[in-house]
Amino acid sequence: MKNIKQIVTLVIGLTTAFSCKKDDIDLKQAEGYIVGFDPCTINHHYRIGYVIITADLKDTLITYNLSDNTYKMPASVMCSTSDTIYKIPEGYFSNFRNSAYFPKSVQYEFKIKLVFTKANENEMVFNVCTHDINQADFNNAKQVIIKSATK
Amino acid sequence: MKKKSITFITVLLSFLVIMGFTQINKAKFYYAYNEKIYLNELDNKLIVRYKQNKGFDKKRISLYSELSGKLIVWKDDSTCVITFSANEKVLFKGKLQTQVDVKSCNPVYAINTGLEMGTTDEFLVKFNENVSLKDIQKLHKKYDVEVVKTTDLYQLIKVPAGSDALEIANSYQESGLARFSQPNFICEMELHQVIPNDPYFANQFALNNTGQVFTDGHSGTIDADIDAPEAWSITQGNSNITIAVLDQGLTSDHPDLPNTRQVRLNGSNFADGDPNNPSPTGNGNHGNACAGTIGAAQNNNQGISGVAPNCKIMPVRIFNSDGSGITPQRLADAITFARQNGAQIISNSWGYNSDNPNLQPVIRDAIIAATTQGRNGLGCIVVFSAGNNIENNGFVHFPSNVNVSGVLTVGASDRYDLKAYYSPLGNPSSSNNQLIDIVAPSHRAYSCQIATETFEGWAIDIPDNAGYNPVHENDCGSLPGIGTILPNAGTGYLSYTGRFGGTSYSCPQVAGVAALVLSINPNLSQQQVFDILTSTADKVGGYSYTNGFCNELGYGRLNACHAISKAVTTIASIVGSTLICSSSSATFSVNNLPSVCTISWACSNNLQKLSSSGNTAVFISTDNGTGWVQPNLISCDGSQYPIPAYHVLVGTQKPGPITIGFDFPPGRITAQVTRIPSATTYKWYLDGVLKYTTPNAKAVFQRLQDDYDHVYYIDVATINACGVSDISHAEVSAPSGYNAFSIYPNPATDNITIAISSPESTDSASLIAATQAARFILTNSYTIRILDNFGSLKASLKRSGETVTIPVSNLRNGIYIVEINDGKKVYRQQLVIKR
Repeated sequence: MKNIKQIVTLVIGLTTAFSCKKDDIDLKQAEGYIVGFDPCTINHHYRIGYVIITADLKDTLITYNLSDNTYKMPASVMCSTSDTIYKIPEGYFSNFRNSAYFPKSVQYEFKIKLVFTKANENEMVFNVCTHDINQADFNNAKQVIIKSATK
Repeated sequence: MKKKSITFITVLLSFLVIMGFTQINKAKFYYAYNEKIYLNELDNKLIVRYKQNKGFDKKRISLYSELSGKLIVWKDDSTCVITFSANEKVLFKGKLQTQVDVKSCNPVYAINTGLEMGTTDEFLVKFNENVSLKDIQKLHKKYDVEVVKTTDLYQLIKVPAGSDALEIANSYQESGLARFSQPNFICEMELHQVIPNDPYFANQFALNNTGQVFTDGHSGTIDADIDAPEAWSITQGNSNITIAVLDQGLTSDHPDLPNTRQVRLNGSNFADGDPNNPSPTGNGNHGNACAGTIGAAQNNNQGISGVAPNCKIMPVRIFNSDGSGITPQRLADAITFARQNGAQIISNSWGYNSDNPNLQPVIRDAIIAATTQGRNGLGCIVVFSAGNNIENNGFVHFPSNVNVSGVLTVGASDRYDLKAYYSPLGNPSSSNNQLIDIVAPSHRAYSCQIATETFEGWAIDIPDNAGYNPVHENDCGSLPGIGTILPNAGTGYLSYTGRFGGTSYSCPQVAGVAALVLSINPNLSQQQVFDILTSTADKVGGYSYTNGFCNELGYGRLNACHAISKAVTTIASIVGSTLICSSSSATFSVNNLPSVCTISWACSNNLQKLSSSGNTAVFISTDNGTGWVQPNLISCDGSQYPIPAYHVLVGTQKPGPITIGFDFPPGRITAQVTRIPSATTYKWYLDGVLKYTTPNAKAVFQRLQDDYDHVYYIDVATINACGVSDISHAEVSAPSGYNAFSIYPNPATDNITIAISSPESTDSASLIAATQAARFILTNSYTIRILDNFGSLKASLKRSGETVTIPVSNLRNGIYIVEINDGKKVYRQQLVIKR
């Protein structure tokens, strides 16, 4: 009996250990500011490729993909979408060849709280870009997929 | 009264004559050998030489010397020419001469052609050969001069402070001791360059940097450019050369790039919209800017000038209307399209934000196909911009970093010939091919990097559209104001922009120069073009170049003039005689030379150049042997590029070492020298006696009988159009004695065969005849005798022919002597009978 109990325990233990987790995605949270965008995607409908810097200024994230179709990242006022969490004045994007960042004066205007995952190799996005654009802001940035975002 | 008047007039006339004579005497001149070259003193220029090196103090000179606003052109770190307004020169000369750091202050002259020649405190003298050292020293002492330098060509002499180097130089010439004596003039070398009339060309510092103020009040370093005007003096490109520009498209019939100079093909739009229309949309001017940088029309009184203004542009559109790029597959298709439709060069000012050299294999393979299969196997020249980022020294973007031989990775230099702030720093230790090959000038930095900097490259823009004209947000820096239009004046100014930059602007410059190179020689392979561009780049910036390479600028800053000059050397060929004699001169000329190119000639020590003119030169020999003549192409800026040397035979040709062999054929000495092309005849001597006069470089001599330890002396001379050469001599000992006949078998039992050695020359008929005559034994009739050990005759026979068999069965075992007597001489050998 004792043996049976041990075997059952072992089976349960092994099953638990080797079974697929339903949700093994490493979700992370961050709080920070939308400070810029990928200039190579300047004309994209939703201005994808936002640069987000965490509030503690220790991390920089870039997001191209959204997992939730009902959610829209901030868009320029030029874009007609109505459900974005921010409307960012078009002029903030106008220096794109020089810098990926919004004007310094509004760098902390677009606060955002995120739940995200780090993009794996297949999910990473590399955009073709003309080489008059300054791309220095992207060198060490992490690409992430946002699961949810609030102001 | 009348008498007084006559006297007065006479005195007056005399005075005027004397004054006139005095004036004539005061006319300045210098001696070109013994010819007087008259000089006109300029009334608005002075040449000033300072005591110290002013390399780091040039700006201050204009302040403390009260020279503010005066044009000061530095000739070296201590010498400058200052231009004044009328009537100021005398005043300033006085002031300058009192300054403690001014060494000399001299006038600038001009000869009758207008060439300005400044004098300093130095002159050059070459004394006649027969002048003694004592006389020279006496002359030096008389004028209290200092000898600065002595070479085979000249002595550089410095005159004392306050003395006139021109006058002293003339005195040396007039002494009769000097071959020449001239001031060490400072004058401008004439540059062969083409300055186009395109109004914005003055702002194209990348193509021609004169230190001009061009954009936002900026000015750079003189000559920190690609020397385009100098290159244009040789070629502005050939319309057979087409450069594909893979980008945002090119405006149809742009005023500075008409469709006659575009290759607009159906299917060349790989992005959205009409697949047959490669025109840009919206404000997407990047493609125009790149295409115009390569091919904008020259001398059309409008806009800018392209680097290769006579070549053609094939626009291939690869960016969608929203600015996004097309898929990797479509990009590969676009590269293939350019290759298959005859583009010799493919210019790519785009890339991915990744340093992985294999990021998109399909693109890499398309590049490989272009570089190997394009141009019927010569390979398309593929040029990529490196990308712009400096954080952590930045990185070279894909596809610019593909590991494909000959692909040019282009970084950016700036108006000072320094690495542009954003241009990636090469990293040789990276496994991701993080190397820059070459750079070309572009803007210095983004305003976020240096606040006072922004785009400053001049290019074409989308006509009547915002394009790149208006400046947008400028929060990062202080220049320029939002909305500023550049240019804001001139014919069709909205069709042009002064706001282009990044490595995007550098890449098409390299593509343009590659087009000029192919215009000179369309048969160069893509690797050869790569080598020409990189090997002729200027090693600027003060960086540490190792084997001609540095991490900042790769092989250096592009130089169109040098690249084209080197390309010319690949097509230039020398025509002339292969033999030069002292008795008559030989003329050489360089073919396939562009008309503006000039040549200087070098030659081997045994040749002397008599004259040269244009692309020809005349030489005569001064000694015998082999030699060479080599034209050096004098490049647009005076530097020289060697054309491969032409090897010639000079004078009579002494044969090389004699190769000697024995007994092949038997009994013969074979002597041979390397054949000399110009030699018509060889004279062969054996032991001092002329044996043969023959066209052969080989001779066969008969060995002497019993020649063991004999030393043979063999000599040979050649005869060519210049005469009889010196003799080449060889001495050789016979390796072993040689017999005129052989006996076999030996030892023998019943019969012996005697073989008379016969000539077996494979050489010419005359040589065979000669060796027949030298046969040892005359074979038409001879006597054979066999003698025993005691000299008793055992057999005697008369025979003829080269072999004879004799029965010896009657002879007992023992040692015998076989004698052959041909009536002239007796030859002997030992025979052993042993049964």
